[in-house]
Amino acid sequence: MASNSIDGDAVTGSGLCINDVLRDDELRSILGRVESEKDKETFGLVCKRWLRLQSTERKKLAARAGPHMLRKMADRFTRLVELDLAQSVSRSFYPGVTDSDLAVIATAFTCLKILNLHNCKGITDAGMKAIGEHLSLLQSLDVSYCRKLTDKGLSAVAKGCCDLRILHMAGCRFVTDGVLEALSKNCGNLEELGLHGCTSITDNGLINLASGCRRIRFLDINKCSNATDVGVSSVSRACSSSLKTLKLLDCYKIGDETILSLAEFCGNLETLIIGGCRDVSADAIRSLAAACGSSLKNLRMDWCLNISDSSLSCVLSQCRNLEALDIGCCEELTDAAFQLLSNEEPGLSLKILKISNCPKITVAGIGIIVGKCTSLQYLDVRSCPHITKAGLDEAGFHFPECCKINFNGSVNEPVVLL
Amino acid sequence: MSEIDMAVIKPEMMKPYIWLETSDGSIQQVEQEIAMYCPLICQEIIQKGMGSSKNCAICLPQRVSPATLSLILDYCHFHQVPGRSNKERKSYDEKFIRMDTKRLCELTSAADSLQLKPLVDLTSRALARIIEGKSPEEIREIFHLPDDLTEEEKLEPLKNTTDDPRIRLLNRLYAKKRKELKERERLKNVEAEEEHVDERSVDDLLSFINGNDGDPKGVKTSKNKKKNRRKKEQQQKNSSLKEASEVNKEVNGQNIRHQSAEADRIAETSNSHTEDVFAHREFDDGDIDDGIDPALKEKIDREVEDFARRLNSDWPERMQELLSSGQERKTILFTPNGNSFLRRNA
Repeated sequence: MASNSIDGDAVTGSGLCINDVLRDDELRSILGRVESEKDKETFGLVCKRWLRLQSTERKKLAARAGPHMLRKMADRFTRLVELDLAQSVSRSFYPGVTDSDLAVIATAFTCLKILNLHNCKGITDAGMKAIGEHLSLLQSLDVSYCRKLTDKGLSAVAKGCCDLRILHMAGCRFVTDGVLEALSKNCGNLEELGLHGCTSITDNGLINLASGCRRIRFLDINKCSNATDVGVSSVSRACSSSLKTLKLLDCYKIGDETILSLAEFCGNLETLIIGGCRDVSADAIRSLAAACGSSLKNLRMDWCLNISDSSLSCVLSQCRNLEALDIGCCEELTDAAFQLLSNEEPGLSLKILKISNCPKITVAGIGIIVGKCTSLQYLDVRSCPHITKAGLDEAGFHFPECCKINFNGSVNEPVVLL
Repeated sequence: MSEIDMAVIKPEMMKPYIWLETSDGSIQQVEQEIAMYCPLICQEIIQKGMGSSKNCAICLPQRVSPATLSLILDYCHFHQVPGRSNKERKSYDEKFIRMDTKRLCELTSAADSLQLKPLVDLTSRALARIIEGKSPEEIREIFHLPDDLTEEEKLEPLKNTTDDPRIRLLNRLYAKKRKELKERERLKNVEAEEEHVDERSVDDLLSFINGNDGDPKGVKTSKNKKKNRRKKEQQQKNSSLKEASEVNKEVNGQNIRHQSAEADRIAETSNSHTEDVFAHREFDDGDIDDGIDPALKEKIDREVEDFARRLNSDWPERMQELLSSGQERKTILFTPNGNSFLRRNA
């Protein structure tokens, strides 16, 4: 019996086709274990069934196409999760992404979770409404610098995409508190919110946002000049342990209350940008250093004119994990801020240090920094009258090998602090 | 017999057994401990109470053949034993999947139907390794797949990599075109450059016409033109004189033949005439080589040949000689030989 069946298998097996033996799940499993991109592309050139499986397994697509081609793509890539239609700032194909494109995307790519429309200048609220109506699984949306968008469209997105976690609206100047209210009501799981340059945002919006979205990790309100301590403090209280990144560049109405609130509630803060917050005092910075010393990695406080040598010493001594520090244009700082470092045993983990336009810091201060910051990669000393290349060469300091020093603006700046 | 064997085995082994039925209807007995490693069989045993006797054997899926089941049970037998190290398991897996492609496919299918995920992962990875690095044609051949893709679907997108020699060639061509366009723009912008080019071209033309290295100044070129004209006129006169002399030679030759036909006494005079003719020719040839340009030589030769043809056409004897020799010059050279023949005949 057994031998007969074995012989039978041998005979039939001579012309056996893998498609007759394996089902779609197994073929998908094989495709998932093919490692190189080239081999995955080859997989789709073998036969129709393998091409269909390859197409349905594709998760991410970056495209530049009109409605007709988008429909074709949707017919083929039926399980697409991520779609990138970002445009360039300077040059794009005319007319670029339009509302009709968004209508096709909304109705055809039903599994979409991540949509990138960065700099798609042509889209309006009509496209946003289409997205809000059909892409209910959307989790991440980037409409930065889509300048025509207003509250109407973005509120429709907030209502329709309740699972939204990441929303970037930098440069959407017509956005007001209405969007924040809609987000608060509908998107309780929001984690990242970018509002860079949305100058119409006020404290009422932030208070509303804080009442509904209590898991925010990343909040960017750079250049939202109407925000004050009341709004930002409400966010810091509500999202206390989850908040990791807060950007308040040029929010010149922010004062000590915000910093003290962060020190009190946000013990896990990693990135803080308070450049241009002129009313922040040295005592507030000292409190912040004491509270968030173990977690803080990136700190930008250029143009904080009240920073003193003692408060900077506190920052440097208590924030042991600090990697990037910007104290440019803090004109009162002197070498005394670094004197305390000389006596401490362990060095600093600082990689990026910007002390541009600090006229009272001299070569001696740089010497202390070089001695303690063994991981330094970038040092910005532009517009420091007492620090020159000749002076540093004469002093004979040994900088780390990969360290770049910027004397007059010729070195590319790292983007960590932006 | 079977009952006796079972009775004997049971007391010795003291292990529970379950019954499995494959798609072709054959039923076999397997250790429960080994079979339980398969999630599907485990479910059947625990939830439905199947497999405890031959009458209620567990029916396995259609895709599990007896041979494949044997392989799967070997795999389970090894991996269900506790205490084996990861190294041992990996080496066993490596040996286990060394089989032909057909059996590997069947094993993948069967393992998936039995929900045996570790084995599915193992066989899928093995099949993926077979696919990697091969062309679509090779993959079709290995797995006996149909070539049912349309030509459009087969088209691979052109990758814009600088390593591709075709891309490099295109880039070079584009670079050349850019240079040409830039040069054209320069020419348009600066009109003086165009004039300069025109002047050079005129000089080149003049030098070509004159046949000498012409000076850039126009006055000298005009003088050279006049001189060249004078030279040409002189050469033409010389050529005409030479032609006249040649005509005389021809006439002398004909007279000689007539005289030879008349009498023997005249033969001596004919010999002297032929000698004179040769001497004249040698002298004339020397003059031609020294004074005339090759272009003028060609012209003179043509005129001489034309004139000779006209003379030859008037005389039937010449025609006969032409037919015999086939060339004009040879006929002239062979005239003394002809005379000698005539003497002998006379």
